Amino acid sequence: MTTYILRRLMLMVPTLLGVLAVVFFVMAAAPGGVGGSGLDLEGAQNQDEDAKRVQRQMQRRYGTDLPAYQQFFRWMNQVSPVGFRMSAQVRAGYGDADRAEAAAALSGLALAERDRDLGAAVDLALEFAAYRDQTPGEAAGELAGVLGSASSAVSALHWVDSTLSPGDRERLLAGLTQSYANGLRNGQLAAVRELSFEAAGASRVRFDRPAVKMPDLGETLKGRSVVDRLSEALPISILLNLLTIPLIYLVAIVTGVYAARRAGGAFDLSSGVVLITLWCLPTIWVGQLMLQYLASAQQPWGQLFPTGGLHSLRAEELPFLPRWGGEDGFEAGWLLDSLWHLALPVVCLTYGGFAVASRVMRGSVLDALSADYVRTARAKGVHPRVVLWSHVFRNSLLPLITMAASILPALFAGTVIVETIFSINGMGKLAVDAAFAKDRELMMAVTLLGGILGLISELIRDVCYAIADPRVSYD
Amino acid sequence: MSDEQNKAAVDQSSPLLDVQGLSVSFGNSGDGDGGRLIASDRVSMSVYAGQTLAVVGESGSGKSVSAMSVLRLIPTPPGSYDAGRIVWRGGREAVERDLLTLSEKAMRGVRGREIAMIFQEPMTSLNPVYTIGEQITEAVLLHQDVTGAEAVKIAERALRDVGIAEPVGRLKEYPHQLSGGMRQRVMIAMALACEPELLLADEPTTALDVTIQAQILELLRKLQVSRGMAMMLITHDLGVVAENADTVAVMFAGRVVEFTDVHTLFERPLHPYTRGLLGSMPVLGQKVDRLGTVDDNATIPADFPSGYTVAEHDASAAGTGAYGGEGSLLHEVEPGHWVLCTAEGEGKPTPARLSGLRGAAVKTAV
Amino acid sequence: MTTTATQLGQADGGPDGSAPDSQTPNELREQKWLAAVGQRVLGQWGGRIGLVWVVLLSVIAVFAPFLASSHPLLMTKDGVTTSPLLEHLSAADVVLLVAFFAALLLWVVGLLRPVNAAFGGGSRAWVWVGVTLGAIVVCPLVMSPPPLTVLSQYREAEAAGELERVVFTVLPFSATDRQAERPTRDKSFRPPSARHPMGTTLSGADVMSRMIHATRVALAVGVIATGLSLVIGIAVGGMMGYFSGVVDLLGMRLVEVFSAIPVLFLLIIIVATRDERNIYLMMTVIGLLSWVGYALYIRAEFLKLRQADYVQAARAVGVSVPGILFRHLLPNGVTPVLVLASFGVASAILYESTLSFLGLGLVDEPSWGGLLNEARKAGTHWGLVWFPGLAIFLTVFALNLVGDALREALDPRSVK
Repeated sequence: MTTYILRRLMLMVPTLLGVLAVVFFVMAAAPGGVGGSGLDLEGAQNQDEDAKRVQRQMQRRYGTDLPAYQQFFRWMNQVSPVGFRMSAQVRAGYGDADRAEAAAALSGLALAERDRDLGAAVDLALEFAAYRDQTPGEAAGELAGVLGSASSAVSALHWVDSTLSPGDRERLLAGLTQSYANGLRNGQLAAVRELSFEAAGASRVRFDRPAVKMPDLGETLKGRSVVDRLSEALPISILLNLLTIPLIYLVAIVTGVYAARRAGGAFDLSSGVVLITLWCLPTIWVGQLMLQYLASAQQPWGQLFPTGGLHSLRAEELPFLPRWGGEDGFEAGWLLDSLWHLALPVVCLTYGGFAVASRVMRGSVLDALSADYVRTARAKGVHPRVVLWSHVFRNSLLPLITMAASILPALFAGTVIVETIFSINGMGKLAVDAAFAKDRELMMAVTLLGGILGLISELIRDVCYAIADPRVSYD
Repeated sequence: MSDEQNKAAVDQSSPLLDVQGLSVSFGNSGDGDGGRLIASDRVSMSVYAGQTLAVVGESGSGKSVSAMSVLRLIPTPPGSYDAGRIVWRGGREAVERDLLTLSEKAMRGVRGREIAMIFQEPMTSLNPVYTIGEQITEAVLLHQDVTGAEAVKIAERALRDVGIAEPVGRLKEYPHQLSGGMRQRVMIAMALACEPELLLADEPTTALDVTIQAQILELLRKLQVSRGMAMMLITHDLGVVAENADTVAVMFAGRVVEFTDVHTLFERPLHPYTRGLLGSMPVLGQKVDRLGTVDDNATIPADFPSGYTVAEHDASAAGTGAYGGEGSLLHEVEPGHWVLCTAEGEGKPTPARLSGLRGAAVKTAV
Repeated sequence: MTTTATQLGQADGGPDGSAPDSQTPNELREQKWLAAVGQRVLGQWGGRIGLVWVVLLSVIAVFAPFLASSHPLLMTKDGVTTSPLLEHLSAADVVLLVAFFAALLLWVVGLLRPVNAAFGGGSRAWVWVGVTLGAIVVCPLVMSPPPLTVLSQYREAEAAGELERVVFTVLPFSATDRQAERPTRDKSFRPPSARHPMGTTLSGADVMSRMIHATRVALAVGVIATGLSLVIGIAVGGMMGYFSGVVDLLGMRLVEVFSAIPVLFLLIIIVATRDERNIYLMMTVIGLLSWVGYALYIRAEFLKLRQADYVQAARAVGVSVPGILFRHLLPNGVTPVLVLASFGVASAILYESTLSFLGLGLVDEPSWGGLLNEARKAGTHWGLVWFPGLAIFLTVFALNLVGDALREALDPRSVK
C-alpha cells in the first residue's frame, strides 16, 4: 500500500510540473496585461508613476522583463519549498530572517558612519554587495543612492554599472557619508530606512544558496503577502466543501439505493426527472433566485436567510451554542448563526453534485444487484438487507469513488459562483477578485493552489479506490 | 451424523426433494401477461437422499431456472412461480414443506443450511471485495451457533476438505488472487461448510479447463459419498451424467422430456430428443463421418410459448404432438421411467409403442 | 435531424475521409445507420422536446436582427423608401442567413430525391460546408454596413413626424439600444411592460431584445467551443491510444494537469488578463480547456479496440495497426463522442454564461449570463432573474435530453 502511494506520488511530480507550467504560461502569455500596462492601481494619485514603480519592482522581484522560460524557472524556484534561496529578500513582508539581516547591515552602516569609520562602512557595503552577488561598484553606487535625497534615491540605483576605481571609491564614500548625514539631519529617518530596504532589493533578485525554505508566493499588488490572503480564504472554501461533499454523497447514496431497489417504480421515475432537472439548473440562476426570494427583506414573507457572509456582524460576541434567557430571549449562538449563513450556499453547491452522484449510484447498485456474487450470497441464506448493504453496497461504491474526480472540480467551479453571489471570502471569490484586479501573483497562486488541491483530491481518490477495491494492485 | 434418525423417520421411498409441475415465467412488469417468457414449464423431478440427480439439456432449456427455483433465487419480479410445488423433506424437522409457499424467513434458513448451491461462473460468483475467509465465515456464522474464531476454524477445515493447501493463508486472500479451479473449490467449500443435505451444482465445471473439470467432479463425488449428501447436478455433458448420476432428468425448451435412472436412460432412451442427444455423442472406436445433431434450435423458450416442440418437427413420424406440445404430460411408461408424451388417442403409451417410432429428430450420418 | 447531425459533425471537423461524390457501400450503410439513430432520437419524447427547443433557438439566433432591431424594416422619408435594417445587416448576420437557407434548401432537395441517389446525404453536407465557408470568406469582403449609427434616430424621427411611413420589426429595439426611452435619461431599471415585454436593463437596453441576440452568443460559443475541444480531444486521445507507451504516459499527465486545475479558475484568469474580450476569445478558451473528457474517451476506446478480437485477427493477416485504427476504429469510436459533445455544448454554454455573470464575459454584447448579472444590481426587477435564467436552464436541459436520447439511440443494448 505504501509503495502504491509512493508510486502514485512519483507520478504526480511531472503532473505538478505540468500544472506549474500551465498556470505560469497562461499568465505569461497575457499580452502585456499583467505586471505592466494592465495594472490597475486603486486610488493611485499618479497612475503612470505608480504603475512604472510597480512594474520596476516586479522586474526586480520576479524578473518580469526576462524571457518567459527564465521567469518560469524563477517562479518555480520561488514557489518550491526546496530550491535556491533568493538574495535580498528584504522588502517588507519577506521572511523575518531576511529583514533582520538587512536591518543589521543598515544599523552597522549607521554606526560606522557615526564613528566616521569609513573603512568599516565600505566593508559593510562590500558585504552587502557579496550577499547580493554584485560588483563593489554597483554596491557602492546603490548605497550612495540610498543615502541620497529621499525622492531620487531609487532611480539613482540603476545607472551604476562600473568597476570601482580608487577615485570612484573615494567619491562614492564621500557622497555616501554626506547624503546619509543629510537624510538623518532632515529627520527623514523613515524614508532612509524604507529606501534602504528598497535598495537592498533594488537590483534583480538572484539565486543564492540552495535551501529548504517556505514557498514564496509573492505579494499582491497592494503589498500583502499572497500566502496570508490564501490562508484566510482557503479554510473557508474547505469548510464549504467539507459540508458539501458528505451531503452530496449522503443524499446520493440514499436516493440512489432507494431508486435502484425499486427500479422502474414511482420513486425511481419521479426522482429521475427531478434529478435531471436539478442537474441542469444553472447555479448562477439558483443562487440569484435564492438571494432574491429567500434572502431579501422586500419579499412579503420577509428575509428568511442572510444575504451573504459567513457570520453575523456580532458573531464574535455570541456564545457557541444556542441558549434561552439572554437579553432578547432566545440567542441563536455562534453555531446556529453560522449554519444559518451557510444554508443557502451549501444548498447551491450541493444540488448539482448529488443529482449526478445519485444517478451514478442508482446505476451501479442496479448493476451490482444482478451480479453473480449477489446470487451466491442469497443462496447462502443471507438476509436481503445484509446483501444490499454489505455485498451490493461496497461494490457499487466504486463508481462513486471514481466520480469524485469529476465532482471536486465541479465544486471548485461552484465555489467561484456561490462565493461571489453570497459574498463569502473564499478561494473562488479570491480568484474573481484577483482577476478583476489583474493581480498577477494572486492569480497564479490561486490557480496553482487549485491545481494542487485537484492533484491531492485525485490522489485521495486513487487511494480510496485502492482501499475499496482489493483488485487494484499495489506494486 | 445426527440427522440419521430424523431421516429415518421420513419414508425412505419418498424423495428428499420433489419438484412437482413447476412453472416459472419471466416478463417485464407492466407488459401484461402476453409478453411473458415461460422458462420452465410443468417441470417434475425428484432427488433421493444420498443420490445424484443429473439434469441435462442444452442452454436455455430451463435447467438452471428449475434449480434456482428450488432455492427461490429467481427475483420476483420479473420472474414468477406460476404453478407447482417443491416438496422438501429435509431439515431438522424432517417434515414435508413446500418451498414455494415457505415464508422468506424460513426460506433463508433452508438456503445454505439445508440446501446449498454452487454456480457456473466461479470467476464472478465470489464477491470481489471480500476475502475468501469473510465469505465462508459469513455463511457459517449465519447458520451455526459458533463464535468468530470457531467459524474461522470451520472455514479452514472446509478449505482443507476441498483440497486447498495452506487454508490459513488462503482465507486472507481475495477471489481475484485465485485461479478459476481454486475459486470453484472455494465455492464448494463455502457451500459445504454448513453441511447441507442437498447440493445444487449448476454446471460447476463449464467454465473450467478440462483437467480441472475432472478434478472438481471427482472432488464433488468424493465429498458426496463421505457426507451422504444428495446432489442435483446440472450439466450439458452426457459424459458427466454417465459418470456421476443415479437418476437423470432430460430437459428441453423448459420441459422435462424424460426422467429415469441413468442405466435405463442410456440403454432405453424413449423420447426422440433424448435419443437425438445420445446420438450426438461420439462413441469410442466407432468411426463416423458426421455426428448426429439435434436439429431443434429451440434454445429460447419464448419462441415456443407452449413449451416443447420436437413434435412439430417430428410430426410425420409420430403423429400429432405425441411427444410434446400443450397437451403432453410426463407419463410413467414403465416403473421409474417417465416420458413426455400425450396420453390421448389410443390409450396409455408403452415403451414398446414409443420405441417403435422413428426418431426423426436425429439426423444420423449421411 | 439526420441532416443536422451530419452537418454538425462535419462542421465541427468530424473526421470523414470519404470522398464527397462517390457513394461507397460503406458510406451508404453509415448513412442509413445515422438515419436510424436519428429516427430513434426523434422517437423518444425527451429527445423530441430537446430538439424542438434547440431548433427554435437556432431559428431565433439566425433571424435575431429581424426579430429585434432599432432599424426599421421599411421606411419612407421624403418620398424615398429604404430598408435601414437590411442596410445595417452585418457580415455575420448574412453568413448565418446563407448557412441557414442553404441547409433548408439542401434538406428539401433531400426530401424530394431518394437517399441513395447520386446527390446523397454526404455530398449534400459537403455542399453545405462549402457554401458556408464561402459565405464566411466572401461576406466580410463584399459587405460594408454603415458604421455605428444613432439607434434612436428613427424613433425620434417618427415622433417628430418626419417619416411618411415606417415599419419596425416586432420588437423595435436593438440589443445595444440603450436609450430605449428618451425622455427619462436617468439610469434605472424598468420592469416588464407592454413596451418592453421583459423590462429593461439598468442602462435602458431592452431585455427581450438582448435575450434574442444572446441566443446567438450562447449557441455560437457552445457549438464552436465544443467543436474545437472535440478536435483537440480526438487528436490527443487518438495519439495516446494509437502510440500508447510513452506518448500515452505523457498524454495522461497532460490530461491529469488539465483535470486537476479547476477549469473555471483558468478561464477567469485567461479572460481577465486579455485586453479585449470578444466572442472568439470565449470560444477558443472554452474549447482549449474542455477537451479532456473527449481525449479520455477516445483513448479508452482505442485501447479497448486494439485488444478486440477482430483487430487482432486483422493484424494476424497483416493489416497494419495504423490502417485499422484510422480507417475503421476512428469512425466507429468517434460516433459515440457525439453524445459527449451534446453535453459538451451545454457545459460550454454554462461556462460562457457563468463568465458573463461574474462580469468577465463579453463587453457590450448581449449574453444570458450578463443579463443575470444585472439581476444582482440594486433596484432590479423580476424579469432579469427569471428570463435569462430560464433560457439557460431550458437550453441546458434540452441539450441534455438530446444527449440522453442520442445515448439511448446509439446503445446497441437498447435495440429491441
